[in-house]
Amino acid sequence: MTRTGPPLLEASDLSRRLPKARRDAGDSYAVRGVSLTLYAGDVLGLLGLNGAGKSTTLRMLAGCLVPHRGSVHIAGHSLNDEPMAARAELGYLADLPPLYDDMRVDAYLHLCARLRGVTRQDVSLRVAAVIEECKLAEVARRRISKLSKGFRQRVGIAQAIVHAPAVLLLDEPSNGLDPQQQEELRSLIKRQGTQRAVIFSTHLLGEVQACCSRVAIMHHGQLMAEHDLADGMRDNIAAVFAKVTSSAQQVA
Amino acid sequence: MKILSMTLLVARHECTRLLRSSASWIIAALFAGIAAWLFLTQLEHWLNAQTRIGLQDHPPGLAGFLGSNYLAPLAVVLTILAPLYAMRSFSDEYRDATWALWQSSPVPTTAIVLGKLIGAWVALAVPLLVAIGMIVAMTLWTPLDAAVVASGALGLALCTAASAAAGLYCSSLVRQPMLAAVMAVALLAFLWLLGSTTGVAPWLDALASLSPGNHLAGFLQGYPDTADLSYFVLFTALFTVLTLIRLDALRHSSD
Repeated sequence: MTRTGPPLLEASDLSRRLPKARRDAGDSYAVRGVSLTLYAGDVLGLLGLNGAGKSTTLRMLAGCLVPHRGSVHIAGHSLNDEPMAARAELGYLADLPPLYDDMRVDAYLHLCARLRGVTRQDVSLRVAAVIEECKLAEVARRRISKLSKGFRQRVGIAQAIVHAPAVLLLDEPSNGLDPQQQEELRSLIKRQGTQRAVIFSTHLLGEVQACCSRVAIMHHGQLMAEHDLADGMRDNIAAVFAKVTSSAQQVA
Repeated sequence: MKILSMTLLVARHECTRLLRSSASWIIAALFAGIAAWLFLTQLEHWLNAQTRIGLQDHPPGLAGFLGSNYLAPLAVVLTILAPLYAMRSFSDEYRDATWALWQSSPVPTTAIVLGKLIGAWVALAVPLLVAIGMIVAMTLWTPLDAAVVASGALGLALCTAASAAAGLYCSSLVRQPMLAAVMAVALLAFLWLLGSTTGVAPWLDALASLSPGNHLAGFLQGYPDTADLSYFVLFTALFTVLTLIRLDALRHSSD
């Protein structure tokens, strides 16, 4: 795949130790030596079993956790040295959407836009755009506590893209959604991928095959494989995943 | 400039959330009830004691009397109330997983902490205004020393801000709002009790100077000094800085 322009996300040697209470004799890292580079248009599926280190990696990329080793650059800004500039270029949806149940959807998105640095003049336009993009018009004036799981997830994504970030991080966004909602979510992620670099974590192979241009397989906190999903690879990803996880288990 | 606008944005969000919560209004209503009862009781004492007060060389005015006998006990109530308003500031964010929104946003932690403190403080202005409003209402019937009333209001506002800052810090420590409130009230009650050690022993006098009550007395009687003002400002600043340190540590701490 030909990539143009500077990388939007560069993570180098990201490592994070496990809390002392959870350290085994030989395993003291939640994430070890993860390096990733993403360009505009990349949709990277971070694939791994539960406990592989996907969420910890995304939390470090989002600036919620400070890595014990390694660095992250978002759109050329170091998350360590220029955290405000870097975070302004970042949209993040954690595994639980960060929603205020007592707020209305439009008011919540308005708040998120302002927090992410959208100017007062542009807020209404941006909020209207994401409401349309995420198909939230029918619930825009409804309280978040009254929303279904699918709509809550869409509001979660809307807050992550309301400021048109260069990089979008989604942590298991399809968790708990029904098949139709999953399909809608995949279309939304694909559309996002045309405008920015997207990483989303999942343990569902089908999801990666459906909407990713690249896949990175994590196991036991390490990045075991990374592939462009060219036509042939897209069909083989299941075999690669099985091979990576089983061989890693044998080594362990 | 950006930090100021972000602080105001956070403050507005926090204040609106508090004012939208029915619990805040129930607490404010209970406070208003206590304040009204205390006010009427003290007013009756004042009227009954007119003959005795008139015999004094320098009889206190009504504003000074209410400062000592009405606002002083209310300050203790406000000290308990402020942590109840601040208890959800961070605990709820951790519990509802909304903290990730703040952590990943380009908002300086200083703006978040100051905004939440100001937001809680502004929401606390409702009970504060009720308390002061009752005294001000007396001007319809009798002249009052405006300087004494203003000094009392300033003292209560500073004391409330200090208590809210302590509540905010405790809220940043735990996920359960009620536990945060209990921790803050216990801490503040301990500090208030230190005030009762005045004159017991010389070494205890130093501890007594840590009590908010000792520093509030001057404000309520209409003669605040810079030491008292500095105490409340430093108290608020100390807990604000502790909250900042705690939030920074959260990014570094293990899961």
